[in-house]
Amino acid sequence: MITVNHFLVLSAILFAIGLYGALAKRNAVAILMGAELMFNAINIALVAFTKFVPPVRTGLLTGQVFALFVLTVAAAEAALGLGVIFAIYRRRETIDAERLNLMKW
Amino acid sequence: MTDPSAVTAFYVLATLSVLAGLGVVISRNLFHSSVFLVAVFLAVAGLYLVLQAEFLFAVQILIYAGAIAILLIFAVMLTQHVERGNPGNLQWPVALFVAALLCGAMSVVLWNAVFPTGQIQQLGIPTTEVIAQNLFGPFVLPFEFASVLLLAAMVGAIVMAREDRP
Repeated sequence: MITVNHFLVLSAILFAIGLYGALAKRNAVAILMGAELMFNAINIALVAFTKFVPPVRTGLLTGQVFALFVLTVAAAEAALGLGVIFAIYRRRETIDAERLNLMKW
Repeated sequence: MTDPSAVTAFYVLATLSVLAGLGVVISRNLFHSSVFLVAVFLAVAGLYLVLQAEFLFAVQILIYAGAIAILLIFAVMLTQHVERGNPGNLQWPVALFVAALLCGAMSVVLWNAVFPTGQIQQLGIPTTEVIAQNLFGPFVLPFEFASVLLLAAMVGAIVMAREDRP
């Protein structure tokens, strides 16, 4: 018997793993990977909600449409983030987030 | 969802996604991390299939496992940091504590939460039809904004990543 809670707990675990990856890594590409993991976790929760707790007023499958939008934003974020990473790498020869402290106080 | 095959598929795919996710953050080699990330994307795609979201299953494989994973692997290859490993930064113990706390708290709360679960939808029709009606009906404005966002991201990525010419 699989309920919505199973999917939500899985989503929470994946989100926490992605959060750790985004917070604890030096390499900027690894930080982006953590962000992608978090996006995936959120999408699981959205799709599970629209399956098990059907929205009453807004019609069927609203969560899947939200998941599509999250996916769009994730794609845009990946493309832009990698553009920024390449620009930084060309100028500074490193993508170590610890050493990108130009704007630090 | 009591279908035994669905239950088995859920547990297998959930275990696979969590293990591969741990591989993403634990692996010493950044290239291995990206391969583990592809495994996470594929396992999540399988979970969409368990949830009868076959359109999202296809989109997940095409966009995440296809496009985004390739972009990330390109970035790993082009920035020459593979051989230097994938170390944590100075704040990794704090990050580990925060992530573990969040995982534990959210798991306990979500496991005990009670949602007004109606009758589980048995979607016989292809879900693409319903998604299209949603996208071009109530969600048409966010849909158009999404295309503008993608265009802006594309132009921005080109501007960011091109060579600086005087």
